[in-house]
Amino acid sequence: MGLRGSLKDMSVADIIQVNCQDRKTASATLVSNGKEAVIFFKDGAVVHAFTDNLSGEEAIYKILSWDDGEFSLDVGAQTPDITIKRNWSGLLLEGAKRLDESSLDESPISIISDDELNEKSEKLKLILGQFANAIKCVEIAAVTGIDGYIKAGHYKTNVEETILGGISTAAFNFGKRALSLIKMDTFIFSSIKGESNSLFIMALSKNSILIVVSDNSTDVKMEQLEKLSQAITPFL
Amino acid sequence: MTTILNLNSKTLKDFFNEFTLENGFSSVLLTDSTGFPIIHSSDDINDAETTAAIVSKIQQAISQVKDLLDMNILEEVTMLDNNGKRLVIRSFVTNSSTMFMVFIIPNRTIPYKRTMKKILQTITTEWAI
Repeated sequence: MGLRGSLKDMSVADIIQVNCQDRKTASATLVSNGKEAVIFFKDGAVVHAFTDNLSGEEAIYKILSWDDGEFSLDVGAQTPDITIKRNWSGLLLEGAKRLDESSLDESPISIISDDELNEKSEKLKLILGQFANAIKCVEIAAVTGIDGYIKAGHYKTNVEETILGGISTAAFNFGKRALSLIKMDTFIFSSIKGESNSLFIMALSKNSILIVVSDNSTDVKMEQLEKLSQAITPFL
Repeated sequence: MTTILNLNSKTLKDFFNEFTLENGFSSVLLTDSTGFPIIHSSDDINDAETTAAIVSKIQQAISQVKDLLDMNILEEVTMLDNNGKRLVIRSFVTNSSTMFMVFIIPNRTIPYKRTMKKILQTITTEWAI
């Protein structure tokens, strides 16, 4: 089955990751700002790519900078050539490194000081604490980065921050991918209700995620989470 | 509803179609834990198969979260997109098998809890798989 989508919903890195993790043999055709590129996958490895006058790894690094456009997937398509030997995670890491370097070249460096970060974190903690204290069933309320780093948290129970950060990032990325695959729009919220606890994940910005865990003695309302999100946003 | 007991799967599909239309849902799907679509209201089998496969993946991913957060039995998963469209996955057990009812609801103003309960009751009490 062919899959189509927008690069705004599923990035080039996501397309590579999904096809490689699912061990696909396929081709992904991408079109962005009038340019076309094709990436070939064989048994879950990126084996060939080309765009303009580039092919192989250099083409992949170029394509990774595309953040607007369309893609389509042709499952089963065979590669006409093998120009890439590097594993897919290595390609993504090198691509991310090159993107970072090029963005540093293009824009003035903006550095946030430790003091500024600490001040923001304290404000976030205060808001999260007020939220958790006002809603008795809330056990955990935290803000994480998309890298899983906890920016601030309020905990009524013992929690391993590394696990919490990992869960929020995994749930956020998974939600994004799942909705994109069933042709829904950008993922913004997920709730997972268990027998005794519930987990809420909310996208706060491109880089930040709200994670709330509650017991099921009462329901946490969507309106309450939205209000919290509005209060938090200025301090992200 | 009592006629459901004697319905074959084709008629159950009709029931799903009517149920979807009546409640303003985009689609309704019954799937098992392996990602096999059993009954769906969508006209496009590819849509149903993709959704069922995604639901299976979601369940696998969530079972890891469930263990880490000690969430015991998983009941319901909701995902919301930027336009207010919702994906709701409700797990239930019938004849010792875990099944999933999946609802795609076009906007946040459409209530689903009561209707979901009704369709689950119908399936669990009157339909022997």
